[in-house]
Amino acid sequence: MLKKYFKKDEWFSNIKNDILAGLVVALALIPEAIAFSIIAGVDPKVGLYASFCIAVVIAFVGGRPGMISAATGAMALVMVTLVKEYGLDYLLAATLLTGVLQIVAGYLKLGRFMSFVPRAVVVGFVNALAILIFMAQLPELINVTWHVYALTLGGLGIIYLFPYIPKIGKLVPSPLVTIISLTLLVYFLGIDVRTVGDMGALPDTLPMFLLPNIPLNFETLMIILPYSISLAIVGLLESLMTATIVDDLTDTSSDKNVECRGQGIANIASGFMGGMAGCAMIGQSVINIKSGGRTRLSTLCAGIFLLLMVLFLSDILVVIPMAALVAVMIMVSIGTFDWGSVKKLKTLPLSTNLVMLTTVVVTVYTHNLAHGVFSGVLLASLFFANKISHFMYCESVYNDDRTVKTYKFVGQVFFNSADKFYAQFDFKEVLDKVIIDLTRAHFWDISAVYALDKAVIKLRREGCEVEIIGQNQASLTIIDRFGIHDKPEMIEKVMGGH
Amino acid sequence: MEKKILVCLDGSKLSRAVCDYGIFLSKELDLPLVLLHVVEHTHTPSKLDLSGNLALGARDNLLEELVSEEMDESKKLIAKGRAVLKEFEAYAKEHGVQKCETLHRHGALEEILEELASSLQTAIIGLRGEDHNAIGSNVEELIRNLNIPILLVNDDFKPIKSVLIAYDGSNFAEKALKGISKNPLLPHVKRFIANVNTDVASSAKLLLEAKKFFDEENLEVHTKSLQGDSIEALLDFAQENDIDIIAMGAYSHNRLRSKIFGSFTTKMFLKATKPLLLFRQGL
Repeated sequence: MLKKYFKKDEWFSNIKNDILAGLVVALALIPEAIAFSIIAGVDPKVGLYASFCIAVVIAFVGGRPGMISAATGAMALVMVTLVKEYGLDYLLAATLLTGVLQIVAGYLKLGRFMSFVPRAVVVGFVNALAILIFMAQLPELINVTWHVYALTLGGLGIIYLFPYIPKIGKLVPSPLVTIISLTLLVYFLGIDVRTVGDMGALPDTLPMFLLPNIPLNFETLMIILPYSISLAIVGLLESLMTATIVDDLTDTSSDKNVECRGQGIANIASGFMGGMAGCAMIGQSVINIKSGGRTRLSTLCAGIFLLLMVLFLSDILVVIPMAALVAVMIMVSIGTFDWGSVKKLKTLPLSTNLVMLTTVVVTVYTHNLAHGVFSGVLLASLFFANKISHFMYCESVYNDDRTVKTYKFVGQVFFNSADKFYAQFDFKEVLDKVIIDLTRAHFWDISAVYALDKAVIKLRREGCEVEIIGQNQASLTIIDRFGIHDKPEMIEKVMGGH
Repeated sequence: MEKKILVCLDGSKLSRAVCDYGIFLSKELDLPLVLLHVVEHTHTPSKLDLSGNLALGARDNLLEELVSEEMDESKKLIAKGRAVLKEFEAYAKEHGVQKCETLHRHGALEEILEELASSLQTAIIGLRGEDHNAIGSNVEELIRNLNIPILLVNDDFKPIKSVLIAYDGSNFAEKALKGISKNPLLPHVKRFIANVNTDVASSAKLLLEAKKFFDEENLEVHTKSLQGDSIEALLDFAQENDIDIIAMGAYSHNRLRSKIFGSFTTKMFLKATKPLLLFRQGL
């Protein structure tokens, strides 16, 4: 137990950098937690409590050291209608159920199904997320005075230009400089713009244990279950994708199933402490790595610093203009966007681009990343099936007096190529005998067997003898229990025709 | 399959002694010698950037930056490792080792050793550095995960002529002892078995039982009952009798207990001035 939850290297191998990175991340978490609470339609304190609880708990139970989890936009978008129709208590209950579902997913080792999500869908997911975060800022930018535009642009200017100042530029987080300078400007010039205080209650105490005030019955379950399922899926998808990004950046590995369970535990903690459901954050995790954070300590520090700052600075937080938060969130959206994928659009195959764009479009349209990912995976699978079905052809030879014809099939026969298989036969031809040679063909499913049967029946009805060669070898691939085929010699036997 | 003797070389001052012990055991047992250098990546960032902002293409840029940074570091480590391996391969051949191979791997020492363990007779590691606590926990983790004997080297090489076997009569130690007597790693040495116990009678009984294992295999042993603080008593005895290495079962208790009370094994290798041969399980 002790070993499992406390590996020294995962905590204290990088102390100074981790504490500093934790501080930078905490500073960036505050505007995000507030902004995502607003998206979800709850008080900012719900997102702030959630971010604290999730970051602190995941530091101990997560499977990916150095990854940052907190209240996120992806999750907030899923819960909007639940909050609107039923209120906060149902959201807290849904958060708890989400946690339970994620823990179950972890124990069932569902993390392995991430291998079904192709790269193009991951890219689409990330881009859709960036677009959604940006779109969520639009309400703050529509029907407002010119001051808001000026402040937002000024804020973005500081964020991107401040780091170029020699020495201090790389020592002080530029989003923090933006928030402080815009706040001072608005406060002392008395500009009348919306501030964080206008958006709802901020935390005034430490988070406290509370049970959601809901009737414990079947009806409640039916209300929250669909949301919890969506939240659990979206949370795990984003967490596992982010974990892969952190794996790549740090050249280390992570335990995806432990991460699934950890996300569940963190969400349950958040739900009991009055927080909304959350998951791993791509933008924040990148900021953490960039700032030098590598271990669990940086995640823990981010959570603790977040809570301390929120508690001691709540009087200041209320006067922060929303324009400053919008500027920070636009930065997060820009940083989350996979810019490389846009540049690669020209060189990648059309099918890959379509999968990526479908994921983006469906997600942006439904505001649910799970729907986008399912559409992307489905489309990618169809494209794959289509590609594979090209890998089948047929040669035919006759005997000397053209009364016996041999069809030699080579390649993959399955649902998508079964019709093509059937179409290879010339049923109009008058023959005494047809030999179907399947030695080098692979029958993957019942559709293939059915197509063969159909062809044989039709040939026989036309008065033709039919002989099939090599059907046993061709059918080896139908067997579902691939476990026994995993050995190289078995694969050789099954695929031997090639 | 023929088992091998592995020496872990890092290019520090102890590497020569570690290699010498490897050569000694390789000749003694007529087993091939494997020289291992592990390229351990630190993965700690070297540049300080707390600007906390994300520009377009931030992830790709960051990855590019980290990759080039670590590539430089790795190249240096690889070059250093190659030089060390080359030097000691020549050294081993010079000292008459016929079958000697080198192994250069990326990763952490403990994971590489775990991968190799099944093909090894024993592994020889130098104890380095000043920070005793850090060494303690690293070595503990390393030894706990391996079930081959580990020779920890902490000083210059001396041919092994005598060995002191520390025996506390526990099931764990008894198993280790049975293993040693059946399949001695050091067939041609003078053996002492020592037990530290205030109760002289039960100590004598334990030692008599221990001696039996060796008698059955026609191996000669001397036994000695010691009193006082166990670590001090064992080390003093080793000093007085000019013992070359101390053999003992390692980490018989679980991690929690060793975290709270401190482990006998850890204390032993932090204090010992002789190389320690540690057994996780009987051979």
